[in-house]
Amino acid sequence: MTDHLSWETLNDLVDGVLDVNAAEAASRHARGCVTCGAALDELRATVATARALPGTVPPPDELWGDIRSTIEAGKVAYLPPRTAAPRGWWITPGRLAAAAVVLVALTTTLTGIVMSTRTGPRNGTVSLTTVAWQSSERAFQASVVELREQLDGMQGQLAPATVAKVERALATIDLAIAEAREALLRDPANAALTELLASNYRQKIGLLRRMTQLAS
Amino acid sequence: MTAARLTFAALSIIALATAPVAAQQKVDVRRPVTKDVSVRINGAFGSLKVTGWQKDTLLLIGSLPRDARLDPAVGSTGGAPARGAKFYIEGPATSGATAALELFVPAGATVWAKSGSATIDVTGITGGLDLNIVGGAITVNGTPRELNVESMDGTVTVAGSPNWMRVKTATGDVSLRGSCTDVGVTTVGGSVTLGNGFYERARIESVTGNVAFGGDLTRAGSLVIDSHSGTIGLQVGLKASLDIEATTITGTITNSLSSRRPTPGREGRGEDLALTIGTGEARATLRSFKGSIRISR
Repeated sequence: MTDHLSWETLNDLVDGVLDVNAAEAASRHARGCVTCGAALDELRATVATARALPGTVPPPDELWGDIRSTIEAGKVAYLPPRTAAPRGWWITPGRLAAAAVVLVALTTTLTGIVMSTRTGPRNGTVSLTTVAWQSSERAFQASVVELREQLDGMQGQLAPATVAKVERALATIDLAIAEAREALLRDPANAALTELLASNYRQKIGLLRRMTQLAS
Repeated sequence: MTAARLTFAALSIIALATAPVAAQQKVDVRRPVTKDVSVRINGAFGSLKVTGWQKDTLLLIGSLPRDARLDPAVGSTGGAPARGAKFYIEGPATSGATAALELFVPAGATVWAKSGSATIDVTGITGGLDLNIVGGAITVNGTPRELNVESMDGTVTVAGSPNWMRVKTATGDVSLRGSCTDVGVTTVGGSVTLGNGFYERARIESVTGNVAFGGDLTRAGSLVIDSHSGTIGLQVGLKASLDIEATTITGTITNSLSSRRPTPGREGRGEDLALTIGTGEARATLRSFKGSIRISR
């Protein structure tokens, strides 16, 4: 058992889906734990910020070009550094928490999108989908880049075979993300696609986060 | 063969058999502990057996490679039973040899174990378990209150009924035979099999791994399975009462549960299927990008 609340529990607590006893236990822990309390506050702030976003915003003309450039950037092959970097002292709980907050923000945004696509008129939700998606994707990419840098710096701490496995798994996820993202661009109001793409994003950030924790 | 040669051969065999023993250190740590003691064990162990027993004693036994080192830290004050214990195993610098350990703790203990490539077998723990490996295998028998497992390519097998369970793997296969109130499984390429029991809340995510769910959802329970390209199989029990919503973006759906046929998906690709079994008290949502979905009895 971990010393701190899991991200799932924190999310569930913020979303209000824990049962009464579990919610009480989690809240009690968060009140007495600086780390979990801070993470909880950040999650709540993120959710509040997301709720305060406008319902619809016209999509910018350069949207497709922006997303395309992101996809192209993702096709760059990763090469290991020539020399192993020193131990990742910069891997702080705060940075990991920040990555988790991005993940939660992404999930929150996507949940909002899904709810919109389920209930709203299709044409009216496309603009929300694309704009919210663009924003989420940027946050996701930033988080991935940061975790990726951390992992690269820690490769000396991990067995080469482990690194190879991680790289293969990440490549698999990247391919899935690319396919789902391309499909979502063709059909932006598809709720199932949005959920599937969000799942792939969670997989990538989750795997990177686990590996940085494993190496630290 | 002469008697002398036979004797030489026998002595050689005996020498070979005893050499590894001589190159190892014996581990034997015994401490009085509380019933809910927290135990952390971390480092270069190749196998770990954890057993929950009905004694207020922690016992760690086994063997270490000759050059390895075990740092035990058992916290207790004034002779009182310890509430926490920590063990770190530093592996030998010159070889890949690892420790083989057995840990006995009160059944209500919380155990946290982390290693590289290792096999971890747990039996009889009713407290919490947090197990983390890169490769190897994890097997849990019993009903831990909480079970958290992370593995890269190590397989995870659970036979029992944890109340809460989270498993994350990259390519390791995951299997649960039992029941669970709240289960979450995330894998990139491992297969996931859940069956033989009751589930209240289940969420399974895979990228390429196949997922098979053969359990029963409790009344008002929920099941969500997302997979990018893995096959999703939902085996519905005879007494099941649930709403099923299945979507695949480019794959196919096979329904052998009823005569209802899937409809073409959005933009003419993929398939959708919505059906209700019984009065639909529970809910199953199955989503796949390009994998097939099979729904059957």
